[in-house]
Amino acid sequence: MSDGKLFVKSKSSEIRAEIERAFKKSKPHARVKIILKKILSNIMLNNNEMCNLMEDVIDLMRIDDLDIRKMCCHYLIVFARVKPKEAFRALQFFNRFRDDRNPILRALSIKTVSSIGVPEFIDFSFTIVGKLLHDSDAYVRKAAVFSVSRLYQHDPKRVINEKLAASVGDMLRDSNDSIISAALACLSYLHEHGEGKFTLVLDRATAFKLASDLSKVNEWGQAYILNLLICFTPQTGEDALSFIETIIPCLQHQNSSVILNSIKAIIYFGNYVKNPELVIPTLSKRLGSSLVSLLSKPPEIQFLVLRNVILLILSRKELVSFDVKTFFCNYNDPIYIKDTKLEIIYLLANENNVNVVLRELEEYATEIDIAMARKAIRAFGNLAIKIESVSDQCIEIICDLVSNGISYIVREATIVMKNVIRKYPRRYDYVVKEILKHHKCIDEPDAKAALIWLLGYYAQRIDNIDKIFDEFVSNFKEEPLEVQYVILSSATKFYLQVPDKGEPLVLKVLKWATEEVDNPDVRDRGFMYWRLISHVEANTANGEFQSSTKKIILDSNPIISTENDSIDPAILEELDLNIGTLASIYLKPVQTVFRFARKKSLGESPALQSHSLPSTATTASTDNFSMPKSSSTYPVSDYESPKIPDDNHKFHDHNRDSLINDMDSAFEKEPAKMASTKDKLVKKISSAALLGRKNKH
Amino acid sequence: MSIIALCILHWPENELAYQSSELLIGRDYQFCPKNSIDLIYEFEAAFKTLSPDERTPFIYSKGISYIYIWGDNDIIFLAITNRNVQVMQTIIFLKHFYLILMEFLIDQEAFVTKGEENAKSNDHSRKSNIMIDKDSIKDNSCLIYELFDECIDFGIIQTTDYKILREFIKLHLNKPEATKSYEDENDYSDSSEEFSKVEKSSKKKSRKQKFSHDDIRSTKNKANTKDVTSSEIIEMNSSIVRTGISSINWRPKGIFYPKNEIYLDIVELIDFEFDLERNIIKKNEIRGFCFTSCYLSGMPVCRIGLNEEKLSITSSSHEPYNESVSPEIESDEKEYDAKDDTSSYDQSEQRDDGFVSAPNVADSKKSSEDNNKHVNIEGDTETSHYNTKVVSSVGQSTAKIANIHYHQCIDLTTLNTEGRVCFIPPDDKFMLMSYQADLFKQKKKPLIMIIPSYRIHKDSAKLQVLCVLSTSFTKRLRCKNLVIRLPVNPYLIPIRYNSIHKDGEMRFKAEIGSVTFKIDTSELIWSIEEVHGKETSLKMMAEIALDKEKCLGVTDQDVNDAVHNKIPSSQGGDTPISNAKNSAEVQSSEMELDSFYGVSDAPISSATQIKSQYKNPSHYNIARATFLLPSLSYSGLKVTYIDVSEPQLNYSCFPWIKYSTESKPHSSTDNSRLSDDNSFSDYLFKLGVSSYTLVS
Repeated sequence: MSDGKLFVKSKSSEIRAEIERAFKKSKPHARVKIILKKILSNIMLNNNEMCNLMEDVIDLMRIDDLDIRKMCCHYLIVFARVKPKEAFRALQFFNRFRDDRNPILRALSIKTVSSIGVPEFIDFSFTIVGKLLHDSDAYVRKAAVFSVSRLYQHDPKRVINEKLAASVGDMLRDSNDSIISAALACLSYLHEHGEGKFTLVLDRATAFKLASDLSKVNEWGQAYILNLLICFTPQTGEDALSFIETIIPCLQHQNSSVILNSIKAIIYFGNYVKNPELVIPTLSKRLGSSLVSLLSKPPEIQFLVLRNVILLILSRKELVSFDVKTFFCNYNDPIYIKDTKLEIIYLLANENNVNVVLRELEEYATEIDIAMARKAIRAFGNLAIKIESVSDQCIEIICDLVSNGISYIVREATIVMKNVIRKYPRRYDYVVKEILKHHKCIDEPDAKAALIWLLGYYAQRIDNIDKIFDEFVSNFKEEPLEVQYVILSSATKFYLQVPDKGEPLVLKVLKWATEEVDNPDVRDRGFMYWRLISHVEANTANGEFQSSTKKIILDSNPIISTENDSIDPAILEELDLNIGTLASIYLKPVQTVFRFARKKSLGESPALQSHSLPSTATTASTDNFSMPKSSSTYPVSDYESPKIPDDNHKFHDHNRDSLINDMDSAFEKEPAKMASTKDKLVKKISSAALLGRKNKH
Repeated sequence: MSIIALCILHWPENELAYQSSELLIGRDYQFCPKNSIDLIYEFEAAFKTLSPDERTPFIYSKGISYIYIWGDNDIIFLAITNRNVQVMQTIIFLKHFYLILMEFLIDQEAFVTKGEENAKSNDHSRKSNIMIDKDSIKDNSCLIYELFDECIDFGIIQTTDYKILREFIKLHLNKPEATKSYEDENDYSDSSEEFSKVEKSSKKKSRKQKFSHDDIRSTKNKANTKDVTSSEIIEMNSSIVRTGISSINWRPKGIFYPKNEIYLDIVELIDFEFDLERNIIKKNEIRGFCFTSCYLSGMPVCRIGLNEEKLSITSSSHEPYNESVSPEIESDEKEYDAKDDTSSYDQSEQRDDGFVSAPNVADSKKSSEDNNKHVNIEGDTETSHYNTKVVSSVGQSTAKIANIHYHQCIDLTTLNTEGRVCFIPPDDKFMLMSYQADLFKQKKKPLIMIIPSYRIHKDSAKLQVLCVLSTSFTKRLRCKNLVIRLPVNPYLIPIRYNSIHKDGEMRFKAEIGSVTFKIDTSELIWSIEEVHGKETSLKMMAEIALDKEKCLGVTDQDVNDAVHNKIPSSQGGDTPISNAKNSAEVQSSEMELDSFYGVSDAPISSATQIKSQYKNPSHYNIARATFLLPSLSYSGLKVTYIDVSEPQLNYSCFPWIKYSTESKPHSSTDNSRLSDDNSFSDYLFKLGVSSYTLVS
């Protein structure tokens, strides 16, 4: 009998008739089962009309057959909330089941009743759960434990008041190991999701007992225990060390989640030992290799591991050691894996291994996979910024690649070069010339913006620049906003540096911007540049051409750096305690993603070590995002009184203060962003679909 | 871990905008304001907004996280949660659940077909049911509900051990081809317990038979599970309760086999990459698995000795291991004992003291040979300054075998303190351990080496492919099912597809095996059933006629581009696929017709189409080999002894060991069911510019 046939929407009246017919036969059980299957299939089909059958289904519970009863319970869980009055009648059955001699039935009754969020059912389950928690049968006790956490969802106060949580806590001393792990799972649920009403603190004795139980429970139990051990705050370094030693063998478990949880626990206890990497010299290698070993698993697991590797590289470089070679991509990795691996390669690159890294990246850059090639080129640029000694090498490779004239490579190289040139001004002019040779294949907004920025920057040093500029400007009105901004600022720069060639161009652009563009921001900007140029004091100071305007617009760019590889240490600390959770994938502060998540932090203890994170981290990152501050370049007072009649102008008044920063640094903030890992992480997060929108890079 | 709901979806062709997923079965675990069906719609929407390369297995949308894996046949296993769950647990659980479903749905189906007398239906159903598909899930909704309930309670994982679950869930499988009326069904349920008993024993039998056809002499052991499950449902259920909660929660009590056997099947998958241009090995790694099938009565304790003294190194070296030196030496002695014994007792299969006997004479001799080789390897590593991943700080020995992961039945703490593998095995099949070994830069010749060379004759418009095969393993061994795939890059080499069926267009000659050309992937396939070791040069030649005009245009630059995956730069560097499409659009309708029928010298469009569908052109620069090398472990790992003792029953046991080294193509086999590891490996040769020669 194929159940596929049952997946057809039926009417409740039909099914009712079928039930009646079934009971006319001598042995109705089999028929009833099939009818119930049909009902359940209809639930899957989202056929809510099935709720009309409540009474009939409850009637079926009298049949002494476990399968039928299970299916009835399933039905009840789905529909009891819709028809609470009719469902109420089912309680009499559960009242009978709870004393049944079959443990399965007892467990079933508590499971079902506690799953139904109707007051009568919850009342009833509160009356029976206490007794079932002390049932003679372990299976029932286990079900009861989970029912407590289920009840907590419905009525947390009452769970606390009736001391149910406490009695679950007592079960940590149960003779049966699997009950212990169930109780732990329940308590950890209450702890993490109880919205602060319930806090679990393990005392030393319990924690030690749990650790010694590790080998007795099944794999999932081990994972729960390891997860919960971080609720224990060791008071001495010795305690913490002994925990680490007990946990280390778990790194060889077959179940990856046990491995990851043990890593988390080891990292946690590592906080309470002075220089754990010196006390247990192999620790960092073992942690590293156990993570790496997980890379032979399927891509989903790999991805997860790689995200956690990023986290550990950022936070605990000294405690976990990795070999960059193990993160080289396989040609058949899915793109999201390659992407993450590339990120790790970049993070791990240093003076010692950079040659190997570069060779590998060069291979990626020639790969057929366009997305990968682009990312590899971006990595080159970032490496050039990160490690100064290899920047020549990186740039040479980029130049080499550009010379092939493959469009997507040129596009990416342009974006990258813009950053590099900001870091090392004037050093790599030859690459810019190479790029300009292939300027025809640049058509994406990002790359265009970068190229136009380069044009403005190199206005004096490139001969036929006006022609190229003309080409890119000609389409001004159709360009996306960010390109328009860059065209405006670059055209002005161009004019200031090469007045004779630039004048017609800048006039054209400003005219378009002020007269034909509908966007008020662009228009504002156009007016502002226009008036900067045409201001009375622009070139009168000492007869020099546009000297004060130059001061404003041609100011040197803020230097970008990659010093801020780290996220805020406090966030990292919390993420460390969330290894293996969703937060470790998103790499975001836990509370921003999960509003109700409990904040985890290292418990205070005399043994707690304050580990030094790169102290420059925070300052460097603020530097990058702040505007150029020197007051001379900030002549707000110069154009206090606008005389241009503009309807939208007042509306946008508040923008003006930051306007000048916007025009240069709004664009220049972009490169700074790209170079900074922090933001890359954020970008990644968006690629991990956190924001559910398209990643524009 | 605490998930809101778990669903199994079917979503074919998710690229198409109008195709939506179908919920096959789902279970809500926790209260959530939103119906899980609505959540699935949101998942779909979120999935579709992402471009394919952004689709990580974790999708976040509107406060809800979706964690999913793809199964075969477009099945998705989806876990939904709104909390910061232990995502590793979740994803592993999904994998395990998938494996469980395979166990439950597929094995039983095999049983069903066995029960059927009709051989024809037998074949048919086995073919169609190797994978789980939409129908098999729908057919067994009740069974899957049970699994949902037993594996997870309140979104918290309970157990994923299919053997334990099987003790518990006695629902029989709903098979697709049966046409039973209600009455039959009825009879079934009455006799269900008997049924399940029979089912069990014959299932074991069937599994055994499956096992036996890979080389191990099976003794058709008839399992007789003298289980508590026999009498009543109630007690049956309490048996699982007892198993699930005892400290040995992976083995039920009361198992009895008339003949006690344990099989160790050590499989090593090679990941190998060779750069033919630079003539270097780029990657040479082994992923090893020890699959164990255990048919032992009672509660046996097994001890296994491995020749890897380095086991202890990976496990821990934070303590000075002076003490542990003596047991190691001891075990080494034992090893030699065992070897001597087996060679002297050649004919006898097994000795009473429990030392392992290799299945045949050749193997035992070979094993000593291998050990010698193994020593050599070590010498190499020590002299070369290369450090493998795990280097112990104590002593100078380099750990070759790293990252060993053990099954939960092995007590890891005693393993660490005593340094030996000791365990109470679960019943039936399981994976005892997995390990990795990096043989990179060991100056060891690759097991199988191929050197392909392509010669393009411009004037006669011909492509000649010469492939030289050499093997470097011992002569005694035989490599089986060797398949070598040589790519013929269609962007470089203009094959005349329109006349490919004519005689003389393609000619193949091989010293051994047979050669074919696969048109859709543009590959030459050289398949050899069996090849001996120490072969120095086995040759294969192929000659393919080319398009004359295009052939003349091939230049060295083109070769260079093709090797570096650069698409002809004249076309702006876009992908060839889009080019093909563009050119196809240009074609007039008349030409289209011509090409459809293959007349007027137009190339047959279907061939071009097929060609353009083949997505990743980088495949055209990679030659692959797949093979099976029985009775060799490439890493040199050997099981030196197996000792099984059962305090109460005190029986003698028949241990069997099998080694094999493999390179497997991407397809799942029954091994994959036991683990969540990737069950394929790559044995690659990357073509270089020097592989091509142009002759005018």
